[in-house]
Amino acid sequence: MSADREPGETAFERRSRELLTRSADGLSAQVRSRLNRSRQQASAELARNAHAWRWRLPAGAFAAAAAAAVTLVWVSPRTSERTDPARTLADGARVPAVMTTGAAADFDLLVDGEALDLTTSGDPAFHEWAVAQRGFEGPS
Amino acid sequence: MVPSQGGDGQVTETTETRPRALQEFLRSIEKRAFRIAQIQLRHQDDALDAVQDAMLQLARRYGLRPGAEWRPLFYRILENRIRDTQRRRKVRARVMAWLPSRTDAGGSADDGETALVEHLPDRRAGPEDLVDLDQAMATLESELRQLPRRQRQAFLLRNFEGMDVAETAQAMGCSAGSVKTHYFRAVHTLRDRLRDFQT
Repeated sequence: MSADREPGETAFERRSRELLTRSADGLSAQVRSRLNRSRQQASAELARNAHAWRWRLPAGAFAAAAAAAVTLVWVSPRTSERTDPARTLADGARVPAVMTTGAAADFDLLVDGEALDLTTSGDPAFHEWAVAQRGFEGPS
Repeated sequence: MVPSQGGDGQVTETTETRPRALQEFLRSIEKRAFRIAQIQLRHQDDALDAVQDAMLQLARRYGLRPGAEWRPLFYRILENRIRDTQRRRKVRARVMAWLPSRTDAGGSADDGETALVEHLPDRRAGPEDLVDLDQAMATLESELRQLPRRQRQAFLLRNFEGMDVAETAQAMGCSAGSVKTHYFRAVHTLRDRLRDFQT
């Protein structure tokens, strides 16, 4: 119970509080014992919950990390396979490495400035020549 | 440490210290909580059950919340539990009103809970209680029971439990303005009825 009372508290309010507080302080041993048991039960309940949360949080973090790893390793190559035009090569020629390794290859492309220039420079003569060399019939 | 007082240190509390903090908090309020429940339910065992349920609910659902939030949450749970008990009594009273034995006895169930409560053992009837509680307390308790529920609730939380307006509003699930209105009316009604308390 907080001791700080509003300044305008009346004598009636003070007297009422004194009576109520006295009645609470004079509870029987039986009631106090039961309250004590209830308090212990609640405390034990919280200890159980807190213990469970201690294991749930690391387990959740591990599951999230595992899911991220699976996404990187498994999903990225599959995406590459779906979009890789080199798969349509008619004569079974080897697929260029830059088109087969998915996200890792894309990353290499960004790191290697020279390769990036090659793909973004828009040199149509070179691409036509490269396709003609391998019999590529992909989309124009 | 009393978590109900709030503070930045509570954020860093570990899971090991929370049960101990909760226990300290419950120890600091349990007697007044019991009296608040008992005044409204007029039955010792029902009041003890209500307090026990409120303690367990607080631990299960809000035990990991900051300690400063515990007190209004606890009293909100307790008030809901008290109301549930009163509703169950009303239903029981209505059912019993249809039974022949009750009708023959001349008991009227029009006033719902009151009809049943009259037959509950009165806490003040025991010799131990007669020693502990003087006439003034008995009169105050009786007048408190006659107040409308919200006024009684506001008076007990503000005056007896010592909660501020914001905490009381949170516990009652209403605005701060409503708390002030309920409390003001409760004080004036009680003061008019209990003029002897002024001195």
